[in-house]
Amino acid sequence: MTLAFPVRDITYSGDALRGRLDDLSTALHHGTTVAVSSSFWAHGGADRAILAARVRGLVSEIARVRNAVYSVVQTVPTAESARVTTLEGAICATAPTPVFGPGSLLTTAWSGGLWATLRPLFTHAREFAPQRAVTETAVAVTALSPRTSHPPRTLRDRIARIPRGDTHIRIDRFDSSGGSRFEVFLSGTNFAGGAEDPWNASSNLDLAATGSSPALQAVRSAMDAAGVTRHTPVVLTGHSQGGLIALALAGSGDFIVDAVITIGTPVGVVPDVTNIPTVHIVHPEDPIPVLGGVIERGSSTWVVPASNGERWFDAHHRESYLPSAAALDAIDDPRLTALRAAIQSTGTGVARDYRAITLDDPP
Amino acid sequence: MAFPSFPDPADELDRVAAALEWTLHRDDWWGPARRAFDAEVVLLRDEARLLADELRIAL
Repeated sequence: MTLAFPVRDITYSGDALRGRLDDLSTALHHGTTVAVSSSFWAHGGADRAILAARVRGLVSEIARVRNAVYSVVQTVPTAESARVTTLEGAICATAPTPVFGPGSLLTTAWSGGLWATLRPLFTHAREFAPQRAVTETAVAVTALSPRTSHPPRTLRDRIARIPRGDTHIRIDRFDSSGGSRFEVFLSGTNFAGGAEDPWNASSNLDLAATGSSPALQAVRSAMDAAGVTRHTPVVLTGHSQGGLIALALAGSGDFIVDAVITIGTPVGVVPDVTNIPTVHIVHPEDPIPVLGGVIERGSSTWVVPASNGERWFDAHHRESYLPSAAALDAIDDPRLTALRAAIQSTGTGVARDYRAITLDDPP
Repeated sequence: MAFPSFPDPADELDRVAAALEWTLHRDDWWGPARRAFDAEVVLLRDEARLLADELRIAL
């Protein structure tokens, strides 16, 4: 069966890492030459002995990084081949339903099936990262002016509310006779963000390595300011890094989380939640989710080919996921129907955006 | 200073630094994993350069 989308083009990891492996091997070759030659020049005094020891240390460090890259390179071709195979298998097995237009395929893959063979690159990122304890960074959160909001009714409604621009957090509050309900919407990484932006790329790694990040702290502060307590139900919707934060918050046990909805999120980066309904929407053309590797059991992942032929980062944009969420809304799946009903708010609410700034950079 | 069968150690360390510098400028990889990788390589490159300079003085 021929796939309608170019899964086989996802070869970024292998090529990029193999090039770096070559460079590190070259550096290691020259460094080793110096280390071996030190037996001729290291005996002329303490200074030389110290220099020789430093050379050996440098070579050892280069070898460590090279070996880490090598271990990743070894996994990538297998992982990507398996990904293609599994996708093909999933499509063949489920007899995909055309959803919108000829050639459009919608395939569902539940936990463990589709992604189980992927090795998490983030595991290796953690090896590269300096080991450090959780550092609480000072983050200032400012609430912007409130506005009227109506309850979201679909997955697409929720994805469309994920903030863009320099605000990363939106919180909608709906009050009814049954009490208050909250919907939290979290944006993805700002790859151009500097140290002052809690949503910069390094915040991802902070979250993976320590379980905390400036962005996570900012969301907690905003939720506190919005009135979210341990007793108010909340639905978390996030794009990319926002999805990671949503999962981290859900896993913390600090809130009554009714559901977690993510798009384009490398969900394997953080511990999965098993007792909360989750919907992860993933484009096979999107390079970001694969960073997370394995999705633990309990997750529900929906793989939907990008509807307009987007690839690479174009397939990662929030806007690219809007038609995919609409496609899921359109299908008659009892799991999604039940989820939508369970998290539906009523009445008129208030929406607020929150702007966050990191006040100081951790050492 | 030359040694039998071995190239000059400072020149070799320059080559180590150059290889590490080269890998920093490959632009076909992205994301948090790259940032962590690059940070590590920058430290190694700087140490290689420093060692090359010190070896030129010491030898």
